[in-house]
Amino acid sequence: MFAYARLRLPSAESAEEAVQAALAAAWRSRDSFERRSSERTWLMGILRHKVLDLLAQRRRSRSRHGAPDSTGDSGGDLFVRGGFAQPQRPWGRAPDDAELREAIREALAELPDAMRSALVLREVDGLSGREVCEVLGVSETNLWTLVHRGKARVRASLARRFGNDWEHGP
Amino acid sequence: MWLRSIWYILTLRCEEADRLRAVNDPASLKRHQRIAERVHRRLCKSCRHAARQLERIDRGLRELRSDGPTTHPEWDASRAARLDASLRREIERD
Repeated sequence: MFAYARLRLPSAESAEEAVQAALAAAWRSRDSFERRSSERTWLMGILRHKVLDLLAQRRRSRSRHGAPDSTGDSGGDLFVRGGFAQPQRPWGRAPDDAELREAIREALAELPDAMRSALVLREVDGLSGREVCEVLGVSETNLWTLVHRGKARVRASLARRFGNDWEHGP
Repeated sequence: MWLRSIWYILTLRCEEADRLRAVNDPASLKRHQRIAERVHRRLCKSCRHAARQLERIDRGLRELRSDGPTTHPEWDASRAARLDASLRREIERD
């Protein structure tokens, strides 16, 4: 549960808070659990709501403090003189699926908060663009920029780790 | 005007092509922008390579949905103890 929340929230403390709130809510509503799904699925459903609540709370507090709706990232380091930046490791090896997932997970952890939340909510959790915009309080244009730059950064991180041609699987 | 569009199509750089691809709805692009992006992708080896890798990343991200990690490096005994204590408080309150 902690790992799920940590991937979506900006700090370990907020992830802990979400897990704590989810467990408390699960305890309070234990009588309504009808065993139509596993306990794990039920708990993760509650946790997902708590994570979205915390992200929305964070967005409201940011907008009260007048933080701008920006991507917080120029993306300038992805390009050199108008072309894609050259990989730092032109040699390397192709990872298997499990290895690649783990590397993607680690690359996500290194992204700036807003970028990670946008990418995970949209591409991992499968929320619609509008839902993600509401939760994060960003405009649609900024959301797609965040998602796109997030993927570009994950790609750069994979190239650093496995070399430039990592997509040619085993 | 059309000369400027042809110039744009022929001289599009990877950075600008990438910006065009970041737009969620390609229909919102102007016609010469859509053509330029397609032409660029066909001609530019580096962008084709990037597109293949981004597709693989998309697949990997979708796979994360059903493949949650069971541990996290920031998870430790003190967090477990705090969660345990808070859940106990919740149970005692009942």
